[in-house]
Amino acid sequence: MGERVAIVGAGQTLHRSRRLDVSAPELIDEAVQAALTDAGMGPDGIDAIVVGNMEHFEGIHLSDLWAVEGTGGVGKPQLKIATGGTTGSSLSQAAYYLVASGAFRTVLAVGWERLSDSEGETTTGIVTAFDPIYERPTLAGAVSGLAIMACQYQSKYGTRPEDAAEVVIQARENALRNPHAHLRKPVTTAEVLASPMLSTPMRYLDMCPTSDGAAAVLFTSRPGDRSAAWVRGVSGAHNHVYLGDVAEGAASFLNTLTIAAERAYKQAGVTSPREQFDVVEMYEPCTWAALEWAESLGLCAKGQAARLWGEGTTRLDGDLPVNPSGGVLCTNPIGATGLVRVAEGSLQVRGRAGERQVDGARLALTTGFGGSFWSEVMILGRDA
Amino acid sequence: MDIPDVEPVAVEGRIRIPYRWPAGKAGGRFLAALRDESRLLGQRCPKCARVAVPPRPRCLSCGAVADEWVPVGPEGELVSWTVARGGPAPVAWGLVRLDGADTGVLHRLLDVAPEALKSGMRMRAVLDGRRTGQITDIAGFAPAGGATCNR
Ligand SMILES: [Zn+2]
Repeated sequence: MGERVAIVGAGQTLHRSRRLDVSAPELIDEAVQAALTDAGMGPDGIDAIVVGNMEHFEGIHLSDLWAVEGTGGVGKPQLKIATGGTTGSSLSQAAYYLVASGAFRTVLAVGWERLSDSEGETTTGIVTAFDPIYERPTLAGAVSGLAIMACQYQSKYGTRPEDAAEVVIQARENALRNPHAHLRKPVTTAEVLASPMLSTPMRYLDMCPTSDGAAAVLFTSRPGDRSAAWVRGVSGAHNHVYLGDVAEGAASFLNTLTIAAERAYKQAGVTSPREQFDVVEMYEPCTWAALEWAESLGLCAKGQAARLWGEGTTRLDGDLPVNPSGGVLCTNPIGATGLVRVAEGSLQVRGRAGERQVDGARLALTTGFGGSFWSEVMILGRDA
Repeated sequence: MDIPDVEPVAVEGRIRIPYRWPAGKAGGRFLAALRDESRLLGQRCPKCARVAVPPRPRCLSCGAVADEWVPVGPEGELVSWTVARGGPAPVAWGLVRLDGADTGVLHRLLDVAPEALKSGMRMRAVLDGRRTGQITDIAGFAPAGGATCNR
């Protein structure tokens, strides 16, 4: 389908709970310059830009205007993409399509968020994403939506809280190797189980943090002799409007992930994901989601994800490392979060992931999650 | 790598914007029946028979215009639930699939101890005594068999 597309540069900021040292354009600039340096390219090499965030968290509209100086976008075609949690992965998909179409040779994708700007009001930003007539008046917020999903998963498979805890324990261990990660402190099972209950069965340490940060990724059809991660599969699946529709008779809340993954697997020739992928960078907003969605991705049988983590398969030195970066559980600048997955996946197959490198990684699976439980998937390979 | 020290200058602000959101053709009918007749209505698809609550312009399974209205509930099944602990007192939330409907409704769970909540349990809509034509005319869902219907 169209031009072959490669990622030749990926950059991230230092992600922290508060980046009060920089304005939004400066935060974006930090990521863009890192991506250009990684690619060994100047800003003149960029033909078009896609940029996005979740807007409400910063209380601005026309965030593309606000961001333009950070992206170096003055005088260039620039599009804003905003799909909630998937904003970052949608940016990667849009950049891919723009390059694959042949319309542009090299496109920069930039995702960013300053969650600290709306200090303490993150839930307000998320609540405004929901239908104001039927769901907003009865909505319990982002945590409880995921908790309702986790409750269904737990009651179906009898998964224990300590099984979920194992996910964040491994994530925090990995984040120690990632200088960009926000939460870089190990946790124990006892600490997770003793952390405050937010919404049954979700405890404080089961949930992702809120971070300030940005990510930038360069997509091109002309990598030349640059180190490249080739896009091998791309798909997304949107969902019904209401949470009550999402749960309708579905085997899992996130059947959109299965739909998107199956399409992307087909493009990439993936028939047994567990064996063929060398590394996974998954958008897991909470521990329980990592378990359920590993199953949605076909990485193990239904109800078996606790074993995947428990037996260490998902560890950095395991058979199928999941989120060597520490994942969303350690770093979550929402509009960038999905793009961080793609950036990390590309670094892995290019062999540039530093201390968090998975030895010999050749094929990476990356995912995005957002909105009304919708999903996006991008597969990256060392080989075209 | 670490964050450098900079002069900590920031501007504070607040945005307050009132809105009005129309419920539309289908939503108006649904909410008026709830307000004026204490009735819960579902939209039945003429093609695939899927019954949806709340109503919407088209059947989300097959895309047909779902203009047939059928009574649903007031009892239903608790699909999944959670108890949020962030506020001064625990608040229970759940997805309830009303009898006769294929979709679930997200709402508060009332008159039930957190320990007693169980997926699959029977629930009953509790209507608010004061009607405003909004989804909150349903105050929430309580275990079926309880005495309350109106509060
Ligand atoms: Zn239909």
